[in-house]
Amino acid sequence: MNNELDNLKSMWRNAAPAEPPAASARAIVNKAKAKRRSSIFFQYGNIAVLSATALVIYIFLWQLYPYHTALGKTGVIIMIGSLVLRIVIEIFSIRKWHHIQLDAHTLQNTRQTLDYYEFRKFIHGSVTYTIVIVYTLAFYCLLPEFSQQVPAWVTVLIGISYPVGAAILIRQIRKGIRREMDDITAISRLSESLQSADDTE
Amino acid sequence: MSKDQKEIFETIYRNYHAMVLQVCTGFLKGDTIQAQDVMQEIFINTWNALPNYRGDSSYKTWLYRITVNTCLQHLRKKKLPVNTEIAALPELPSESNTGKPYNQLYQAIGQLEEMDRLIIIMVLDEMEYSEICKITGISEGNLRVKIHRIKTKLKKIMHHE
Repeated sequence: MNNELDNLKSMWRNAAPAEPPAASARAIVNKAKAKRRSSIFFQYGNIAVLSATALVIYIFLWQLYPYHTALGKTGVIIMIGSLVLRIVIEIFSIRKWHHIQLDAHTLQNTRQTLDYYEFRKFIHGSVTYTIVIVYTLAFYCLLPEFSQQVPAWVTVLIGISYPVGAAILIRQIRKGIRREMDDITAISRLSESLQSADDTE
Repeated sequence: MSKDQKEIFETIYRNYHAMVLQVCTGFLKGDTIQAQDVMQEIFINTWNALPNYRGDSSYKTWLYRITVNTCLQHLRKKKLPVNTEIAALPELPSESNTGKPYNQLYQAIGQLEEMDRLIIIMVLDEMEYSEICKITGISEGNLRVKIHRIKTKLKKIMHHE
């Protein structure tokens, strides 16, 4: 078998690419900088959108057009609270993502990646469902006082369209979870194969 | 990023781009176009990781770690099918067709499981077992067993057994 391996090694050496790289080192550095900028923009953009939403809700429903009933005020607090919770989780998720070291050995990198995906599964699953339920609860807390200010048909329309929107959102969440479950399965399998010598045959 | 680090990066890129490209080509079953893309991704990651380089391993070993992790990440991103068992070797390009006998080697390596592919590539690249252990995190005993099994699988594939 060693002779055969030597042949393969020689074949491998002969296969070494001789052509110059398609991009210069400087071009790679520029791409790296651009990628880093867009990654930061994407990650913190999400937080910015959530924060702006919380701020708009606070300004409109607490400062400009405040709710007067205890139920209405509770609804606003729950709504803003659930958004703040989502923002905190998002920040935590980014920190966890930055914890993945691409220059760690494969086993360590795989564990870190698995840890991150497990966390994402948790926040995109249980936590997001809970937030949707709490947010819905808050929405219906606001509805009685809100309905006094608008025609009845508007209240009926909102009351009907909200569950439809929530159903679409839940469907999307379920799709996302399924995708991430596939990733978790693949990474777990890789992690197991690295730790065990009995994984084949 | 200091001027020194730019110089270090340029040196790494100049010295190792061919090695990285070959690893990517072997990992991606001889697909040189995709391999070029993954190589770029690897050097982008290398640039971003450079401030964390502590010097506890050679640049080659360090770069190999980034290469292996990025290749595995690439498979997940692209959702490419992962081999779980030895499949019959499909329509290998013959030497006369391609003029490149090593295409058969790339195709054969491509029949292995993802991590096995990377391990055998390191073996073919004449890396010491201790270095492969540092890159993969596998113990030396475990690695020896794995390499033996991978060689047997590769032999089976190469000989259409």
